[in-house]
Amino acid sequence: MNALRTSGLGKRYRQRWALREATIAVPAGARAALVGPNGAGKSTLLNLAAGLLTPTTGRAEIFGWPLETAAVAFVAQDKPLYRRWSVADLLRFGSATNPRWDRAAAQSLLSGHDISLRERVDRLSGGQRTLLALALAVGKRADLVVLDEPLAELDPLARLQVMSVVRELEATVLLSSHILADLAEVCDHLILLGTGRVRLCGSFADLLSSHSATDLEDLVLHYLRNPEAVR
Amino acid sequence: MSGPLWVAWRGQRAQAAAIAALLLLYGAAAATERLEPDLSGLTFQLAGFLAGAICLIWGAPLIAREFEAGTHKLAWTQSLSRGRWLAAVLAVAAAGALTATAALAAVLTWALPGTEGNPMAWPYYESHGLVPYARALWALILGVALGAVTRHTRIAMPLSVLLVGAGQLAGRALRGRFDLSFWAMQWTETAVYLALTLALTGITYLAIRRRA
Repeated sequence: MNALRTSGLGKRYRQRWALREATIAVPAGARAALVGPNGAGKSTLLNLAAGLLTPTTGRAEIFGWPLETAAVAFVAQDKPLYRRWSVADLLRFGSATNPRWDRAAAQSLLSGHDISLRERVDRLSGGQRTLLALALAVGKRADLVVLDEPLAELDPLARLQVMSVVRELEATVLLSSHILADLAEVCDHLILLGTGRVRLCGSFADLLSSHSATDLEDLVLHYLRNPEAVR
Repeated sequence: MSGPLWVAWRGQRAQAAAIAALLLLYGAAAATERLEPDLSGLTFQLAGFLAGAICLIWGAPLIAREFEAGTHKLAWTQSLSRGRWLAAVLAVAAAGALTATAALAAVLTWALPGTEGNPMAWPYYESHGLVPYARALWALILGVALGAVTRHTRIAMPLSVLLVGAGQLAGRALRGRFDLSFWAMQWTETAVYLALTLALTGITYLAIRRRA
């Protein structure tokens, strides 16, 4: 069973195609890493998977059902949160807008990282804000969790904390990042995008053996240096 | 308060407080007029400020601010459709605008009881009856729609205030061309404001339906 399946998914902004004919499958329970140079269409694909953008062509399915926002938890780039609200307010926001809300799970993530419910969001550090955004995703109890650059601009300790939370998520995860070493630790699937198209999609093990690469970094760098060689 | 309505209220309570503070200032001015009848008329003439304040403080930033902070990506990826989200946000804002208008009407009735004069003269006409309520709703949604379409508070705020002012002046000019009684005129004008409010609500929904 695929948690996420897209077929012929494309998004055009005026004259420019940000993503073309993207056909990918992320199996249930997978941790899929979305990798590619800047402008390759990563954010567009994630925004489509989150139901925030409407595709120009093709479609996306979550566990065989047409995509709807209730089934996906999305942490957008820069982790947008209501900055003047308290942490407790944001938890109440999660419970008010999600019928399957799991307050205990969201709260235990926060208390596990010493984030006080009384704190105002704009007084949290970048790492704490990321953890709060993840707590909202956990509380939603979504089948698929989509994270756009969750590790960007985090200090090393915060990055470790966020990675361990991602590793323990019960849902299927699709996340984008530039930090290949981190992805190799957390993820087991790779989707490689280049200039708006899907270049590689599959499990690490399959991709490494079929391209006779030694590790993820090797495979991705090989593609980035010579895009035409990887098909 | 039910879920989405609480979210909308949490997001708008600062605007509610700002409008309440303005009404307190206005109440103080009206009280002064009651004690000093020499100032007579000034409070009536200022009563029209409320529509402009509502569109500037409450309407224009309502959705534009979400776009500017990127929080629309948070709000629109929960289990709530954008239509329901918008309905909750507009319900709270509309309730606020109507409450503020009722408070203003109460202040006028208390501070200036039994004011004589022509009911069709604009300072009286525009601050009594149904028109202030319909105008407040129209001013609110005009700001909201401009914010949703332009996605920038710095464009939506000044533009909506200009248009609300222009709309009030246009209403005043048009009114002189018809020979209707007070209530016939009030009902007609209210119907026009409410029709515009509905149209602008539709535009707002279309503006947020497919954008990210």
